Amino acid sequence: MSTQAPETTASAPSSAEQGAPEALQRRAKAQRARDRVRTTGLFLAFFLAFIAVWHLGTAGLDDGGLAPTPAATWDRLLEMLGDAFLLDGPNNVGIFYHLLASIQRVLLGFGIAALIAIPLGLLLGTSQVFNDGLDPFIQVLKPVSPLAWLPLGLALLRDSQMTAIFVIFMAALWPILIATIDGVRRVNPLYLDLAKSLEADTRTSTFKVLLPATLPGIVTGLRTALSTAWLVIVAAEMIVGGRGMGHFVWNEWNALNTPSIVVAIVIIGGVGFILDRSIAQLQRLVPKG
Amino acid sequence: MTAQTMPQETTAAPPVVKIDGITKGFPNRKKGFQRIVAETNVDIQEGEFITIIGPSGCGKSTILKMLAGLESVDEGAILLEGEPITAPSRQLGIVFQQHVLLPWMSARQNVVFALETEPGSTSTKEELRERADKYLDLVNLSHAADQRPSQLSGGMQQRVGIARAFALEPKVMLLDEPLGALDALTRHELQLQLLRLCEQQKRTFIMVTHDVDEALLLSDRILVMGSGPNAEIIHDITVPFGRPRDAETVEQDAKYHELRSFLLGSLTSH
Ligand SMILES: Nc1ncnc2c1ncn2[C@@H]1O[C@H](COP(=O)(O)OP(=O)(O)OP(=O)(O)O)[C@@H](O)[C@H]1O
Ligand SMILES: [Mg+2]
Repeated sequence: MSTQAPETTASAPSSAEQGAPEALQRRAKAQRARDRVRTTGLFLAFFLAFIAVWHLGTAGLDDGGLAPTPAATWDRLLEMLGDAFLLDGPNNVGIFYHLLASIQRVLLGFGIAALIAIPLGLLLGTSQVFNDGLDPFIQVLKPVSPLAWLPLGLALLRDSQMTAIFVIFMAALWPILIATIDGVRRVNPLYLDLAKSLEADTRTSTFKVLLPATLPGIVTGLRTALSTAWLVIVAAEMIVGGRGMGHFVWNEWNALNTPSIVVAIVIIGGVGFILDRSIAQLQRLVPKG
Repeated sequence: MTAQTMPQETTAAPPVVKIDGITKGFPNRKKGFQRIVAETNVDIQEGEFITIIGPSGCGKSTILKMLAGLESVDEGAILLEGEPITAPSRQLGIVFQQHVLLPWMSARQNVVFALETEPGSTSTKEELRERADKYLDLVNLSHAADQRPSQLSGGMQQRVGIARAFALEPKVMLLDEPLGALDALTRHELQLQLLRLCEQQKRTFIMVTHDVDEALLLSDRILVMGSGPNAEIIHDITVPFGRPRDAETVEQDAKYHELRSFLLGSLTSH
């Protein structure tokens, strides 16, 4: 049974917290602090155990230094960070520029995909006829690995840089398109009835009603697309070469420099995490009317 | 109390809404096509408060949607001041059963949004804001104008929806179980508020409800539908209470109980 009289705003939780006795508040705070200590402790324990296992697993191996030990990786990390901004000929490029090249390709391919997939998704989501006509294409092309497009890209575009962006585009297109179509389908149909009954023109009902209501779905699609793009870029760059994290990893493997690869993996993971978090912030873009 | 306040008995003015021989059905998997609403004819005079009541699934919402222009009629026509309703229009204000407030806008922004979408509107943002505030005040929500729908209780959200529909100043207000989703206490409170609002804002109202007491309190005429499919209006009852009304006088009227049991009987005997 709701206790909210029609006159009161739904601010019950905060007022209850204010009214709670000091002791209860203190206890809740202490509990939160204890939990935080436990989480941090657990993390550190796992981390140390991981390093220990890693060390024991690699230190004893007599394989000519092919297995990266934690110590060697640490040294390599410092070295790479020290030379991060190095730009000394085509074969001596700092890790920063490799990272920058990868991020640029991903953002470009991803951005173009978003510019095409979002409007197309809004159209397909609202029009059953358009959707039924295009759905077979989407269903067949969606499961194709983006890397399968790579040779075709090379053949048609005759440019490795463009090809990498094209592969990213193909990787990002489907998640955004499908999430947008799905997002439109999930919009409360009464919102659209409301727009109709207000005699809103197409622009108003698209930008003030449909798009904001679909935004959560679109952001989900963008996140999936960006993660996929970030996964794919490393593989694509191993093939197309030039600058980039994938190319760097492959180069270091050819030089049998495995500690570099471990460092690169950590960097790739960290940047992927940051990219995902940034795109999730788009959720706040909903217009306030 | 006299029954002589009914507009259609005292005037011969043309009806503001004329439901002229409409029927409606939907494609049906088993039968191919299922008629939901049987041929229906109703004349509604300006200023009348009409309630449609009937068993669940008989087609009340479907009729209201056709009145709103959100659903087409199969046969016949619905005329608003002589012109057939073929598309939604700002002349027809709608209050939906669930509140339909855009969750990313505050209460006031929701009302202003409805006002500013008017094609060819020349009002300034400031004027629209004032008009929105006036109608939020009518439903006693001035203090909550800046809150988002998620911060409002169900009753408050429904009142914003009512304020929005009134703010459009439509010829006809269409209400589909406007208070149906609320708890009994809030519902009763809003019934009284709605009664006051309707008597202040002279307009034509067409409301769907399940609540016999609500129908008797608010309406001038009650249309009782039989059970579906192919449902028709089986009673057209004139409510004999004068206006302005208040709940106590209405409930103490001997005819109230008579009508109440008649309505309950006709709703359950199917
Ligand atoms: N778009 C549609 N397609 C197919 N059938 C529909 C559609 N809309 C309504 N119906 C059917 O029409 C009938 C009447 O529906 P309607 O919503 O008008 O009933 P109602 O009287 O408003 O019921 P309730 O009191 O439960 O709100 C139902 O059997 C429903 O299944
Ligand atoms: Mg209904």
